[in-house]
Amino acid sequence: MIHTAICTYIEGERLYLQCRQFNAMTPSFDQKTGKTIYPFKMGINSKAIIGEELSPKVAIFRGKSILDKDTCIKGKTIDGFSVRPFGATQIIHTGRHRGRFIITKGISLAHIEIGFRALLEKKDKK
Amino acid sequence: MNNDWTLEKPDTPTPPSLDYLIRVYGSSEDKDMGISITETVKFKKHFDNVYDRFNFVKNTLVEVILSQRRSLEYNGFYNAFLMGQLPENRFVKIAKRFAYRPRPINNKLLSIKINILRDATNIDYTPSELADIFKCNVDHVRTAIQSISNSSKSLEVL
Repeated sequence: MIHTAICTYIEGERLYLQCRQFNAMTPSFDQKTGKTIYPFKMGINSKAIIGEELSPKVAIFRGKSILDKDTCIKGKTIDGFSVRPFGATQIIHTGRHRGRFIITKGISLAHIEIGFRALLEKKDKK
Repeated sequence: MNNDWTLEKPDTPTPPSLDYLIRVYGSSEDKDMGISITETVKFKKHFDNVYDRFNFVKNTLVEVILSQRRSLEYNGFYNAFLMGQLPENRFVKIAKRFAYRPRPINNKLLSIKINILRDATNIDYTPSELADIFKCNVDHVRTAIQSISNSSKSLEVL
């Protein structure tokens, strides 16, 4: 299922991230788990999909997180973090623009920070 | 120059009970002059406020500069890791050196800092970026941003 509403959270053992702009930010310590987390920010047509579900299937960081495999979130800006550093990115050719594809290695969370403008405007009109 | 006209503390340990500043103004052509009298304490307090505000803005901008510097240095190591120059275990050790523990920050103070940054740079920072800059929890940033949009009063600096 695809979600586009802002503030939608997904959590998984492995996330597939796809975007045209990827920024790895400086790590921090998660207060809840005490683990070092590696935050990221994706921009320009970002997408995150749960590739592997958490085991046990219980949200670790956010109670409201969606945990089902293949759940996809799309937005203008998606941010989140992983408990392991991000490896090399793959460049994929989808139509005219080249995108980046990243597979997170550890437990990860992604969240829609800014939704697509067209969708937001459509919502405002309603 | 007579020492009476300076804002320096008097040598006496107890402050004087009477302390005023007198301003004489007017034009030399008309020889029309006016005098205004103000308490030195009030006058000094005004400049203290200006100084405090300036210092707060300066400290906020210094925080941003330090964060950008930290980020640049971290990205240097991250690039080395991506290029295979650093193995993951070594990179993780280095990354932990850069990792920050989110600190508790007053909501009003944070919203003022965010406002200063927005006014000075005109950049739309995302909450995660602001959390990284001010080394705080992203939820606190969201609350601070919400309070900015809810109340125009919090836009006033100090």
